[in-house]
Amino acid sequence: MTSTRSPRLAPGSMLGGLALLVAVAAVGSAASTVTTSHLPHGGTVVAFGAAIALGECLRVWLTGDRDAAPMGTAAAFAFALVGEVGTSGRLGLGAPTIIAVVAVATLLGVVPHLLAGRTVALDGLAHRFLSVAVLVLGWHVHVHGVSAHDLSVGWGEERRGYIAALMALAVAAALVLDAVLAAAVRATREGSRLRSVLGDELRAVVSLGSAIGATGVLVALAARPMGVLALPVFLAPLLLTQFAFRRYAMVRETYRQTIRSLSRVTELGGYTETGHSRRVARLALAVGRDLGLSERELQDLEYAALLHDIGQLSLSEPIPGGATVMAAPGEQRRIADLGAAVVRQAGVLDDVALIVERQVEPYRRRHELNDREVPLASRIIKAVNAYDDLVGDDVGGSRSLEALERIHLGLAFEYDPVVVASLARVVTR
Amino acid sequence: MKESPRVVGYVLTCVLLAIASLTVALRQPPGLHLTQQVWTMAVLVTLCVVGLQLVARRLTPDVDVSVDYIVQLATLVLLGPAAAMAVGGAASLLDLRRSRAVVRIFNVALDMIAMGAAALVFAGMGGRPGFHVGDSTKNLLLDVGVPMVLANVAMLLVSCILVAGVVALDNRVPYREVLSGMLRSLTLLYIGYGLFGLLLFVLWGPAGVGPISAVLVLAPMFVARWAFAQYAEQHAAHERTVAALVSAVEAKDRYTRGHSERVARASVLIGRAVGLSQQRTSTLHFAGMLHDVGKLGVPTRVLQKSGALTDEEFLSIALHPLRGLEMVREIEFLGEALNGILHHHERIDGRGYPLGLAGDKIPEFARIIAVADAFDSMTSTRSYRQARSVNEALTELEACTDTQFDARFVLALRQALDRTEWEPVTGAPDAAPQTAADAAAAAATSDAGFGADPASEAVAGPSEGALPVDHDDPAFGVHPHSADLDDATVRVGSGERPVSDEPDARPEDGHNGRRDGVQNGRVGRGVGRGIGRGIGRRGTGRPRNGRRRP
Repeated sequence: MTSTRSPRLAPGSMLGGLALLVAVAAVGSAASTVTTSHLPHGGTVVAFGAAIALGECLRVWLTGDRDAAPMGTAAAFAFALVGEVGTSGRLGLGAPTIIAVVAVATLLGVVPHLLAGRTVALDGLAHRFLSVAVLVLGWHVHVHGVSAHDLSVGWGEERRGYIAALMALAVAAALVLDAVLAAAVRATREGSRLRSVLGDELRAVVSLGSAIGATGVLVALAARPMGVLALPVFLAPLLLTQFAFRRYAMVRETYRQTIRSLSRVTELGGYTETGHSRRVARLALAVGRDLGLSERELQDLEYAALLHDIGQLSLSEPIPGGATVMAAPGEQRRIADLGAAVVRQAGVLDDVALIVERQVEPYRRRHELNDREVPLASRIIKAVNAYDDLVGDDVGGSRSLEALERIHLGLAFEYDPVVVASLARVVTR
Repeated sequence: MKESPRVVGYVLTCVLLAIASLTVALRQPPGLHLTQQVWTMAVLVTLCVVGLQLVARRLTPDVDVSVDYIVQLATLVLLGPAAAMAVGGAASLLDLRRSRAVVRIFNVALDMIAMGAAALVFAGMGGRPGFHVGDSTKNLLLDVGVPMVLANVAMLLVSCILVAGVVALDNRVPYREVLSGMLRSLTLLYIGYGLFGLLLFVLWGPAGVGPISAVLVLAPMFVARWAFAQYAEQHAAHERTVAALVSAVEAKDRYTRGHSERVARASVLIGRAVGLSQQRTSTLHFAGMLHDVGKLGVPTRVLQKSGALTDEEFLSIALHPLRGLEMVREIEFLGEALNGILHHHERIDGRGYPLGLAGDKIPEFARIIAVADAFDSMTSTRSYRQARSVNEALTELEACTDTQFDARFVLALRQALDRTEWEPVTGAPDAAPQTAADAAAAAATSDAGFGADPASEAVAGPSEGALPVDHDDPAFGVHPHSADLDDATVRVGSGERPVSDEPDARPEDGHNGRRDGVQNGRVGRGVGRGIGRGIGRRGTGRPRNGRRRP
């Protein structure tokens, strides 16, 4: 939505370009070394490369429209950190060679998806690769003539524990970088605040990221006694982790789709206008992102917006056109209470029930103090619902401005000015 | 809690077995020196306890799966069988979760016996305890890797066999069912996690990382368990939310309150009895919950209308399976459930709706739901009759197996109900509201500002010429031997469409004069034709609304 008006490069494509640049430079630099002296430890390189490609190929969709390649990333981390494989001694690959192998393997992992005609999210690919590249450079960069890599290989048996800790730190840094890059891309794409998005991405790192990072370190450490065998043996459990996350993402998505579907009950029963709850949900989400709500809050907001009219089911006579903005305040309140009771019955959506319940509260009552108990999500739904009741499915028509004008009349008493300002921003975008 | 003597006897036998295996194990040489061993064991026991507390997973209400066996496996290789048994037993003893004494004792014995079997297999495959820092890959694989995986399998088998025994005795359920259920859902996970045991050993020993490796190993495991727990939580939340939304809509019609939930339950009973997988059973439950969701699309005024219906109103009712499908179509991952919802009013003889499918052409889920649907209708109280007993209902279902229902699923339902308690809904339908939403709904509908109270209309019962019928009840459907039936039929009005509280009865009961309207088609394409065919072929064209005489 940004590129149509302002001809600036989205960070997603910027990241992609940067990743491409790094990859090409690494391949070129590695090629020049390899042509002069043949590539050492060919088998090991191929094994790691295959693991990275396979992991990239088996990437997984997660909640919140993220994708991750846990096995591929873990294998790449391990390849970045590993010093010795098997009993054959030091691996001795330079940073450019490692980055080049990771780049080639990552691209190879994408090929099956391209052949199957699936779209490949370049953003995810780019920030995964860049964070690995930075890890490789950081691990191999020489400070006072010695790199972390040299230390990890040189330290004796009695200090393996320290090496493990050092590797864990390095991987953690790479994961945080990955989260920051992902957050930057997401913030621009969805028009949300960077800070709240960064929080969401960091939370994702704490869960799946810690498993990826730990596995990467484990493989790097176990490669010395076990050789490349460490790859299949220790990446396989990650496949289970990945499976668990995928199932979780699937049930979350099913949950969302179920609520979306069942929210249409009121439409099919003739209580509300067709598409009303979905439009309210979409617009409320946009406003919520604009106001910097977290992923968790956005989810509650979406559910509450979808179900905000569910209380009308208990009415035996539909309100004309289903527009609650036209109903008397007492009726509006009762619909909200009934809806909240329905949602509360689920026992697991109490936050959503509260939002539904408070959606009719005016922002401020005359001669009374500001009621701080009304959740922001309720205020958003109140304004967006009024807007949609007034505009309907008249997309881009003149009714939009009229509706905004009418809502402006209720500003500061009926509606929260901050929310209305955000709404105006979102609908005129 | 008083324990049954059979359970106590079973547990005592296990304890004796455990003591025997421990005695044998103590004769084996330990892997490390004693002082080293004490410290190592302290760390390992702690790990086990943490594993037990934090990442246990509830498989069924009776069976937990914990990951402490991973640590035990590593202990077996690091320190030998006696230490591994001690670690597992100590962890189970120190388990802080509340449990019955007999369960705790059983768990300690179980840990030791399973470990004994694992140690036996491990030694039999040439595995040897202990390690040297810097062992070669080949040695590690042959001496540790392969034997350890096989030891893991032995552990799984012995644990499942013993746990299934105690569960079967304690709950009086068939042993084989419990065992196969456990093996099906556990094998992959158990062996997958067993690899963490290998990882722990390699890092601790040959890689020389020592106890810190435990942290690294536990992290991914913990994350995986966390994700599974999240999944289970979301899954439960999903089911509860669907139940809440569906019951909110059912609240409009008190005769069908709780119907969807019971149909879902009965469908699952059938599904389990015919051996559907866990995944499909879960989908089936969902389909059962939502099978009548299309009725929500039928406006209240049509549902409550007491006069004659226009063709359009009739169609809105006859199309409820299709509306239901439309509503939930965009839920991905539903797969089979969609077919179940669309076709749950098809009949085996091909005279159902909306498509008039016959026999095996009807999707399996639809056939199951049809049985469950009819069963629940018959065992529920309606305004015009009391609920029938489970046995009567089953007999009625069996009588209709060649026309309406798939005999296999009727049989499965009978078998399942032999083992499970089914509480028919016999109470008065206008019992006090039971939930918050019901209470709220009642409060709202009794409010004069919102028009007539739909519930009170329903309670008023059948008005004249409006005998209530039940579409889900096979006795009210049209039987192929309709000639016999006519004598037993309660005639309703003459030429008047019968009107009822149960809208879906109409396609079956009130086809008089409507046939043409439907066939001439306001509904386009296949569906319309299907309905036309289904109705047109049926019966004598006289409104029929009665119960077959026994």
